Amino acid sequence: MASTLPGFRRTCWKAEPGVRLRPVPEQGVCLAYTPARPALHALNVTTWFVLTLCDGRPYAAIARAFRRAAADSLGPGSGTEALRTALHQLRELGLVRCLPSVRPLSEHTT
Amino acid sequence: MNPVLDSPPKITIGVTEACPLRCRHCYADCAHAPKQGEVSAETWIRVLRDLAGRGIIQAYFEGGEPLAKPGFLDILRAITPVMMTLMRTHGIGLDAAMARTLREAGLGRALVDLMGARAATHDDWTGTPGSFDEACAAVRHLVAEGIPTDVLVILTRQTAPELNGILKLAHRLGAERVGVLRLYPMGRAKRAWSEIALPLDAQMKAIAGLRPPEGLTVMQSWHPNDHNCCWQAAAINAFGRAIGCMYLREYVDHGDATVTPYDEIWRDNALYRTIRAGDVEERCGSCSATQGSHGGCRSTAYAWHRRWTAPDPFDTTLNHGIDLARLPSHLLES
Repeated sequence: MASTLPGFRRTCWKAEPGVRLRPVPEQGVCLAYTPARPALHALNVTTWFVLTLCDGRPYAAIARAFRRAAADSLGPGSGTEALRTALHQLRELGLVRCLPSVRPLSEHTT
Repeated sequence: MNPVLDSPPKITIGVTEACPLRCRHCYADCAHAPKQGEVSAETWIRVLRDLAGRGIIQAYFEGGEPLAKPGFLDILRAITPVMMTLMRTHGIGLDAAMARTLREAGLGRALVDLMGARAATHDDWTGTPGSFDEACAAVRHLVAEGIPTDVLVILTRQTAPELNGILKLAHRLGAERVGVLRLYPMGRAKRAWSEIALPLDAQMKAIAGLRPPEGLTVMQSWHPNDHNCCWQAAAINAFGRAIGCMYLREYVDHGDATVTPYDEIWRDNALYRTIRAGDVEERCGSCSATQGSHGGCRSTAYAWHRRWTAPDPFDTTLNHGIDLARLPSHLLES
């Protein structure tokens, strides 16, 4: 499912404007409101964390940060799939958008 | 004990006690015009913006009829950029133009009350000829505008035989879900109780007989889904009073939420903390397992027993022989 995203690795990821977050750490979720498409979503900890990484940085940088954070809790190789699934969900929910990467990928990866 | 929240993420706003209908069961004892002392639209906007700043991310508007509140659309437009909004309505006057206005204002979800599957039942219940047709048309208009819409029905002696008809009707109209709600002994419902309330076994039979069309979701809170949702409940009535839950409107007053920030009331009011805690005398294991909360609804528990820790008589395992078709005398006296 996640692998159907077009140009997955060649894009930058950014939260949609106006998205409002309300962490509910007592319940292990973050509520996310999308005023452009009015709906309230409950994000689990993984998806919530990935959303915080979507500040306009490219996929490679997000993946690196995600791998570092997930190293203790996910098995080898599972981090990539979890990240892709989370990004796919976030985009489907209207929480993030893909932006074309205007610079060579290598500039973002240092 | 129930789950614990440091502050509430969602709130219900009983925005007015005005309504064009004269429902026989009206919990708020509504009048056609707003009552003396109701919070103004300007004050609601100020209070809601403050709530947004304190972490509230969803507001559920009910009444009365929200569309009967002068300035309601201004409230909606002011708050939808920062809060998910839901509006419970009877659909009176909610034509195509109003549905478009609500969509443009950013309304997130609508919930339309039906009190029967036929005009005769619904209109008799509302005391308003034509109200059934207007409610059905409202669902169609809201759905046509792309506003997710649910239908609500209160389970009574009159609606029980028509529940499956309401499910089919709601599905035909384009509703996503139907919520079947219990009848609460408040307002005019209290005074009409003997005519409209069903004993618990008849309620359970009606719930067991629900046959929703494919694709329609039914929401209901009878055993084994009887939850004690007070742990997360926040509500302000039409007069600006913090009451925790609209179904507690006749039992509690936690303070003036137009003056004191709601999260302070949440934190500091001793009764509010007690009600949220879920410290109950008895619980239903099945309901606790499915809902993650204990003892069932605090409103009906308190209504029958006058104790916040009492078991909810609407739960089959906690009823202990109480006839829900009869009200205890203390409720009729109050």
